[in-house]
Amino acid sequence: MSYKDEKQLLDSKRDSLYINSLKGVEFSQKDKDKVWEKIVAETNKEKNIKHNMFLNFRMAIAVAILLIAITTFTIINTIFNQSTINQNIITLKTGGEVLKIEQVEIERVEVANLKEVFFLDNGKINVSVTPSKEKKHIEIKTVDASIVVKGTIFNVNKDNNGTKVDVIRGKVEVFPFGKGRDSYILEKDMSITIEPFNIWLEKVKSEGVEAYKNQNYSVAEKKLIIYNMNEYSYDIVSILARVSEQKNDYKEAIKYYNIIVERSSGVKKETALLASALLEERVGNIKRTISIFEEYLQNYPDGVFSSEIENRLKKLKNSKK
Amino acid sequence: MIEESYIKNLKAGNMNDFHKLYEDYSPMIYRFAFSMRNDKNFAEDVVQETFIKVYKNIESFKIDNRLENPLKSWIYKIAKNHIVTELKKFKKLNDTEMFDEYILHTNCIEDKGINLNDSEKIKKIYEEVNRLSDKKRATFNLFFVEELTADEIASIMKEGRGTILKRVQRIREELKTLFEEEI
Repeated sequence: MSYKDEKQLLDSKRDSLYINSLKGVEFSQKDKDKVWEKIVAETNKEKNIKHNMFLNFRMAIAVAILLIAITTFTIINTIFNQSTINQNIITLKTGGEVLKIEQVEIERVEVANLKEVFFLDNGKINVSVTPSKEKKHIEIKTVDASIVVKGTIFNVNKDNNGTKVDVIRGKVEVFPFGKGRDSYILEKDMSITIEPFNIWLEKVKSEGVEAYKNQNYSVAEKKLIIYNMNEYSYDIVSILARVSEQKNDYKEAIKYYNIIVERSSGVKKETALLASALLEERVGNIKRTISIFEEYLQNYPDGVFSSEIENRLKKLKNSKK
Repeated sequence: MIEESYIKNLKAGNMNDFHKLYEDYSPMIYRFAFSMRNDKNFAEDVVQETFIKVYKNIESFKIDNRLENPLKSWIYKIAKNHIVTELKKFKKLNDTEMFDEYILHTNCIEDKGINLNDSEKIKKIYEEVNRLSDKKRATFNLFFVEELTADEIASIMKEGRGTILKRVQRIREELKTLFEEEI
């Protein structure tokens, strides 16, 4: 098709009512401003990471971490080919890369996993890695995060408020603990303090619930799935089930109700059983519907929904005949 | 033609210029996203995610002198990729539900004073459009509603101009009511 024909084709539909009605779809200034605020909030987060903004938090996950100590250093001495100590500077050589650990404030560190993962319980370490041809995986772990060395000098500072990482040279990647959490790549002069897991998780939950209340189901689902990956909550799984129903994704909704059935008891479980049975019926799984109803009546003969379920079961069995 | 100083300011993180970019291009992204699912919240979500990605990735944007407005094409590309990912998560609404949403948000019946016979025709057009695959629907919207050229659409969808035009021809065959006769 030539460019002239292309233009003719486009022009031929300029009077189309349908097409013109779509062209008239308006992004109101009110909605535009609302979305702009959310964009600014998100882009400010990016800026804060780049400009060393401090984020407050605590952490809860993972195994305890230890720090460098003279006694542990003796073990290190025997494990590595060469190690030296000079005042507060401990130099470890591992596989061609020199890992210099300075300014240690707390005494113990426990070396684990091929001597490439170092645990920092509390205190500060300065890591300087001389790049070598073979890149080795070097990692500093705290209860808040894993900090993976990618040829750099950086500080890791763990205290009661969280884990702060400052990059002096090169690049590191920080993996906050918690499923569904983004990792951060930090370059020279960048720093980040990792939000504690429970505070981050609570934020995810409240943002998801807020989005649900505003009928922003795609955002709600995104957030609450992440929450659900990390912690079970009846309220959150209920919302996810309802969002799935909104999308007519009944199989997904059934999955969520089954989670509630597994993990809840009492009226919550009864309600979830009924909901999953009704959805099974909607997708045409009559056999499964009958089975759930029968299970319900067996376990809850005087349950909240027992008379309704008895009637439905009767109708289903009659229609099958 | 796009000004290089404008791009430079965007890359430097100038928020005033970024806001201008948003004001200029968000309506078209909103319209494009809305036409893919007829869902206001979905469209807002797409606009939000698109411009966040534009902000985060503007440093990687390179001017393609073959296009009249390479920045516009690039923004559409980001939006299209996000829409494709998001649509996979949703089941398609049935014709009636989507048509109701279309009527609600486009006001075509109110504005044009369309009578009952005409609304049936619009509904038929709408059902045909709803049956298009996501790719065809995106091409239809970008070509006829957003009025992008085949070259621009080819850049957005990472396909050849010929492929895009062949698809437009096939769309014409599938949307009989729209292309043969309309109100």
